[in-house]
Parts: sequence; C-alpha cells; structure tokens
Amino acid sequence: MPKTLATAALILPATSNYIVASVAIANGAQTIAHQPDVPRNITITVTDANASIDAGTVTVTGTDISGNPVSEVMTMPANLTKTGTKTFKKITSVVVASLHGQEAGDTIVVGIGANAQLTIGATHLVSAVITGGAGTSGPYTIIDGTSGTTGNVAVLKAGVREQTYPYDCMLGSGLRVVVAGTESVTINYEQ
Amino acid sequence: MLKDLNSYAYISTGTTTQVLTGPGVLVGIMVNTTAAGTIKVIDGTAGVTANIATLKASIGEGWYGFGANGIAISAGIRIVTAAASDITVVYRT
Repeated sequence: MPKTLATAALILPATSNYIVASVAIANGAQTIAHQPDVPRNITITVTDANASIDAGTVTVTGTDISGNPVSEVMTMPANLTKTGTKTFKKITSVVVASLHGQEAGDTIVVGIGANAQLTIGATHLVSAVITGGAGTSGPYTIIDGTSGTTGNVAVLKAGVREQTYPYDCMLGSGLRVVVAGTESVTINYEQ
Repeated sequence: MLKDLNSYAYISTGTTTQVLTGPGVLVGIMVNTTAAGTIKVIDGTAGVTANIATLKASIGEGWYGFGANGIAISAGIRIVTAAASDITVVYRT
C-alpha cells in the first residue's frame, strides 16, 4: 500500500535582495532574480543616498498561495522601506513608476520577509529540522493560522539546538512560520 | 485526506493547564525554549503534584516522548509550568 510522504519546505531567512538584487533605481520593470522560496511576504528597500527622491512608487505584483492576484505598493518619499503583509507565492513584476529626484547612488532591492505561509487549512505538522550554520538560528515561531506573528504552536528559541523537532500534530487553520535570525529551517508537513 | 492525528496544546507562561479531561494518550512534550522552571506532568484534573514526570528547570530544548505509541492517560492531562517555559504538549483522545 503506498504511503503518503511529507512535503519538506526549506524556509530561507529574510533576505533583503533575494527577489531584486541591488540596482540603481529607475522607472520601469526590475529584473527578478529569484521567486520566493515558499509563499511569504516581501520587503522593499530604497536607498536614497542624499535624500533627493521626492516622488515615485514601487509596485510588486504576483499571486498568493491560492493563485489569486496580489500586490504591494510603496509610495516614496513617505516610505523608503516596506515590510509587506501579503503572501506572495509567485512574483510576476516589480515596477518603479513616477520616479522623480533620483541621483547617483540611489538603489532599490526587493527581498523576502520573515513570514512564511506554507498552507491554508488543516495541516499535519510533522517536524521542524534545525540544521544550524554560521549565523544565528531562530527564533522560529510556528503558528496555526493564516496571519500574525504570535506563536500558538511553538516558539523555538534563538540559538535553538540543531536537531529534529518531531511535533507530529494536526493544525486546524494553516501552517505559518516566522523565521528570525540568519539561518534557514526545514519544515515537514502533510496536507 | 489526512488521517486523524495528534492534537497539541501550546503553553508559554507559568501556569497550570488542563490540557485534556478524561482518558487519552500523552505522546510527548516538546520543549521549544529551554524551560525557565520545572514542568510537572500529571494524570489527573486537580493538584500540582507530578505523577508522570517532572522535567527539571532549564532542561534543554527538544522532544521528551513517552514511547512510540505514547502512554495511556486515565483522568486527564494536567501540566504545571513553574515559569514561562515555551512547550507544546502532543496528545490524542
């Protein structure tokens, strides 16, 4: 009888230049270097070297975990950084528009945020695997839900020991993981 | 379709938690963050005296399982955390 195997999701730490690597900011579509590793929020960072930018928008467009259209917009100069709240499974475009006042040294990066939404709905959380590395591991916050950053299943502490944490339990609403620190985590689950 | 699996209870404060009332199976306890105080595990619905296990204060993070199939609970699963440990209790009914 065939057995159902779990899905392994390697969740990278938040990385500010993962989707769009650092380039001089200019109007138009930006080159997408990578798609999100797992469905997660995005971050936008504009470096305005001499505080010269006085207008412009950055729009990130894509689809969410269910395949529905989703977007985040950052308006400059009121905001030069944005930590998105929506979940992107795929990025279709990153567009800078109506930019004014940019000068040499002004750059843009778009990255992946800390909040990963692996599933929506009932999910079997099999385990979390901490492998560690040269950076700081965690804390890793495991949430039964589809929003927020407050743990209700577990908060594996910063600097948590490298090993497998076999939760083996059912979540009712969805599997969400907030990854802090600079190290990845592998989450195994079934849905 | 997912088969019927274990339930969980998350505890992150120093408190007494009645995880389950009535018969069930205690599978194990995941210590997510090194415990700040003792964790008493009780088969019962009253009191604070451990009759299954006492995990010591500052026990290391990790899985403290009660065998491959867990252990039978007759009255209920009651957990007493002496301080703000971060733990996940895994059980089934």
